[in-house]
Amino acid sequence: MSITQTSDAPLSRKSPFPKAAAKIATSFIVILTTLLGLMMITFTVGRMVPADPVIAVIGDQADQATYDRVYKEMGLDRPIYVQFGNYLNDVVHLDFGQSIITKQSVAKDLSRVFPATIELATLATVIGAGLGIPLGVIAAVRKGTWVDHLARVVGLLGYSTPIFWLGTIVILVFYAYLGAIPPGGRIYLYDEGIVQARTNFILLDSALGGHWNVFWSALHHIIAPAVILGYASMAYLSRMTRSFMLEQLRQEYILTARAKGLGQRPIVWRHAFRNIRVQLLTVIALAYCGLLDGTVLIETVFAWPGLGSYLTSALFFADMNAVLGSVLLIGLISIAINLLSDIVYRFIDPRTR
Amino acid sequence: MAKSGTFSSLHDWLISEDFTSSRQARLHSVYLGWLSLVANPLAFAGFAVVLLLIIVAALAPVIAVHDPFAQDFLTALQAPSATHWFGTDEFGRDVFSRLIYGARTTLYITILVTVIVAPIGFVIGATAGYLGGWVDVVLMRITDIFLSFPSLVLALAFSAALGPGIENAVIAIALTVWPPIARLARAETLTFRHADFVVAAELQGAGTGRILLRHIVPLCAPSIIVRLTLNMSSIILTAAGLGFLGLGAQPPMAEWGAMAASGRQYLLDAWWLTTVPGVAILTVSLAFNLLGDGLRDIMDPRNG
Amino acid sequence: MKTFKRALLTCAITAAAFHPAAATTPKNELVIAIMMTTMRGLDPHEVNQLEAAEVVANLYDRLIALPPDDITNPQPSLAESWAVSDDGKRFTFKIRQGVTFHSGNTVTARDVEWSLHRLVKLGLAPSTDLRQWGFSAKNVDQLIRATDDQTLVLETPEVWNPNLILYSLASYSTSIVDSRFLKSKEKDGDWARNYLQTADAGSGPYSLVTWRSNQLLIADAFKDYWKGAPAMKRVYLGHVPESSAQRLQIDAGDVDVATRLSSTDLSGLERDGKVTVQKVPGFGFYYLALNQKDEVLSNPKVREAFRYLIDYDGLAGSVMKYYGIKQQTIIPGGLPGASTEMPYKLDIEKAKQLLAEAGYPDGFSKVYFAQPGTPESEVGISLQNNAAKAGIRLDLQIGDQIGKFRSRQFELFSSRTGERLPDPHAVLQSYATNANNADDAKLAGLVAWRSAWDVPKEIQNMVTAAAHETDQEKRDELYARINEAYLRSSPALVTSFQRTDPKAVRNEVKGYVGHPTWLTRWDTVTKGE
Repeated sequence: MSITQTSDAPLSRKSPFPKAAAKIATSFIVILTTLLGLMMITFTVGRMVPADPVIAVIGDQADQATYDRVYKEMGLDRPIYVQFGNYLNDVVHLDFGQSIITKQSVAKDLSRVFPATIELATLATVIGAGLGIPLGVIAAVRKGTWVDHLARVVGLLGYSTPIFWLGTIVILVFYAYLGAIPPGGRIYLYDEGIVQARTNFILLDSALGGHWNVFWSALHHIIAPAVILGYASMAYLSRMTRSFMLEQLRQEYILTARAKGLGQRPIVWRHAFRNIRVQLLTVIALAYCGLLDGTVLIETVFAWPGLGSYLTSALFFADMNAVLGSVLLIGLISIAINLLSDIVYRFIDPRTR
Repeated sequence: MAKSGTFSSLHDWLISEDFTSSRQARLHSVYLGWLSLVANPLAFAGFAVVLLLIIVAALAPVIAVHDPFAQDFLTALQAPSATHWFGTDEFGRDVFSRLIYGARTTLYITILVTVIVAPIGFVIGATAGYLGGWVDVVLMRITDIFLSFPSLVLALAFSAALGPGIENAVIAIALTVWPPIARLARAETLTFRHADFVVAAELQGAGTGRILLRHIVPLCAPSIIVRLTLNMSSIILTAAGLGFLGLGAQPPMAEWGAMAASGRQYLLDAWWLTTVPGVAILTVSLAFNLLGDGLRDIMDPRNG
Repeated sequence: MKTFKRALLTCAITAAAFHPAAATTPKNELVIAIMMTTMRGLDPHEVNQLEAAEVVANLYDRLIALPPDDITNPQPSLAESWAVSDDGKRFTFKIRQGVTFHSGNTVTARDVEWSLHRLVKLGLAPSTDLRQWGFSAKNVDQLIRATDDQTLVLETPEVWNPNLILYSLASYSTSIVDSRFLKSKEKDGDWARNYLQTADAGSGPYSLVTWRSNQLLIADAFKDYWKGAPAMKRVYLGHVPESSAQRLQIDAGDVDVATRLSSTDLSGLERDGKVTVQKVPGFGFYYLALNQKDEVLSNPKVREAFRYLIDYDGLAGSVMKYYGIKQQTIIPGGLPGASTEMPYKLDIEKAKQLLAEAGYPDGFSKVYFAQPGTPESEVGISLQNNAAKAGIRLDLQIGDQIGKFRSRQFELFSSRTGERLPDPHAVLQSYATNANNADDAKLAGLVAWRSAWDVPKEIQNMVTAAAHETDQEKRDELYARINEAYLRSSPALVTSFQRTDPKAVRNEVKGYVGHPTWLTRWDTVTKGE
């Protein structure tokens, strides 16, 4: 997982309005160029994939006349810049084309697979933050003790574990040997087709429809992949929390509070922790982004029908429209989350207000 | 620590701050770093594992007891035993020997990516930071575009586009690793940009290249080295992830990620096929993280 | 310690979610684990792949049915009866009365006419099933026509063995679609192609409820099916790409049938005894293609050398145990002319000797493309290893490289084929005919052309003659001769195994019988104890 903060927040106090307008204009241009760059990269990747997209459509045994006809139909005979232009034009009109694997429009596919990934990543973040932040706080408070060392090892282990491997081992132990978790997928096959898809978030849909057995089945299915992903993000969050806390605990006001005779717990939670909340929010957002990476592998291991496995199969089977659509979506989300954490940072952090 | 005569005098010479030469000064700081590395058990453990990895990779033909490529269907999928310490795979190949040779692959990928990425990241970042203006804007824009993809997704996409093969995997990973290095180099450069010695060098008429090389490189080096070491762990994991998805190293080459992946087909009958390479990946990647973490404490106290 | 309490709480919630894993599938529902990644659409006139064919087989009916246990014996289906004219060119089919489509429309000869026209005119991959007999977009209106609602007349441009035509009309590609319904779904003269990708318009025992690519497919029993409502009210196909996951699920009873298991997992399941493994023979081969445009590989001694570099026995006992039957020539077992003669075995020394005779005592280096997935990748890795021992250095690249194979841009390539007609001709046409070996002839449907192999004229002529031969005895004899000639020809397409497709079926599931031409039916399935 690589998480990098791209926001550097220069502050200005006087006459915020014209500056703010300029700022918005610049951010707009920045986002636009980033998007264009994203599309250029994805387009190049899409065209370079060695598998033959025409054969992906017509199958191996078709004769040459069919091949030539479909080649033309797909617009592959036109110069590459014309193809890119057409693609840009389509994207601007929110038309991502049709997937050759699913035979559906890519936009429709994405609206189906994306919620599955969001569901997984959200739960994983909840788990990761729920465990990682307290761990980080404790490690900071007890800096240098065995608790701190333990937290460090746990954190580094999270960074170092090949997530696909951990998933495999978890399936082996918890499904094959213990029978405690389901083998993969979002719900049991025979529970499919019961719940009406409203949001495509299966937990939400089943709860809304009152299908509690499906809800339990879904929860049961999501636990293992979410815990594994959550562990990876816990590692990151606990380490960041620790370093933020250390910084706070060194501050003057903490010393003052201590001098006033305030107890350890209020100092830590009411003062120091309160001051790192905003920073934590940013980090959680970034961890969320990083989880999109993790889902690619974990979805393959757990046969989770989300964006990650959609992208992987599209890449392997030369489904260019699907590749372009999903990579663009992932890039967009990353940009959006970065931007959002930036904005939140500016609004909430008293020092930048 | 009791030391024999020569060692103790060497120790004294190294620890002394009355430098008689710049060489002594440099060795002094390296030695101090070494001492604090030894003092940090976790970092030292990491260092030891990395060293072991290098030795194993170098001596692979000596250590491996079997030919890692020799197939024999008659001995396929045998459980760990005295002859095959980690069992055999679906082709009857010795897993222990393949694991040993796999260390070479891992090291090869890690070093190659690092060697490619370090200069590229530095040049782009330092140039942007030093020259500023539109050069900075353009270079950082490109960097941000690459950064806006989650790195594995990007590596996966490039790797799929370039086709399978270890060289292609290296290129694909390198493409995802350079942007953070560039950002770091830029940030570091900015802090030194207006330092007296840089301005002095400029006044003496030194060219951009010379200033970057002679003045900026030495100052950025510590934090970049720390970053690269920490990166090695993610390079290993990304490479393994690509191998797992069938990209990256191609048969018959032994690569841990690919070994773990192909072992998954035999998970229920031959747990060792997946477990053993997975543990190897975990250990080495953890070692690089511990080492990088320790190095950061030593070389780059600002971020500690 | 507050944190510790919170952690405990989290653990408790987690544990609560682990309610006992639900076990077996419902009694009146069938759950099949498949690998869905290559399933592209459900249009019977477009799909070209095993899993999709099985779905199509159950959503639609065809004129003729071929029973899985008596595959060369055409049986009536939508065609109640048929007659062949004396000159062997005119087939008249009487369409069964009182059969309805899922839409409620009645099945008539007009639907049959429209369906077959659609297949030929769309001209997609499966259209070969009719096009190879001389039907084309130009002549099909003339040659295939409904004379009234109950009668369909089909004329062939040339005389072929009548079985070939009847077999073709049993293939999934000649499925009968609901023409009146589809005409309403047509857009810009696309024969409702866009619509039919993800929908059904058939008269088969099941109707499509949902299909989510790479995830699942649900089909419900068609109550008014002309053979009676099927016992399994609902069928689920789940995408379970991992062999070990399929094994675990069938073992636990989470699925009833699993179709993409590795040989090791199949052995394990068979050992445990809860599951029966069907080894369904298919009409195709695992082959190694040597590009004949390559100077080295076109040397007959080199071609011959490769036949000694395949570890037939080692593979047969391991990765190919359930995926193939050893076969070293070209006619699948059980068909006329099949042979059990197997003169080749792994023999590195013999291969070295042949290479030396060919003038390559030190071997050579080539790029070798193999298909991903079990068992094809294992077969490739094994060959690479044996070739290395004989001095041939193969740069093995595992990945989807069919495009390069089709356009002859390869050196070595290995994969497997699967034909849809239970007749030697289907295989022979692809492996042993190549009317024009020029690059621009682009006979890309034939593996012989792709390998740039100028098949000996003697063999090609016999193949053509046998297809036209109407005397069964003479035909059988011809095929035996072709098979023999192929074996001795040092072919550029080295066959090693006849394809079989394993299906693991839980013991309580009865009547799920794997079909050699991919038409496995679900309406015959019942569940016992």
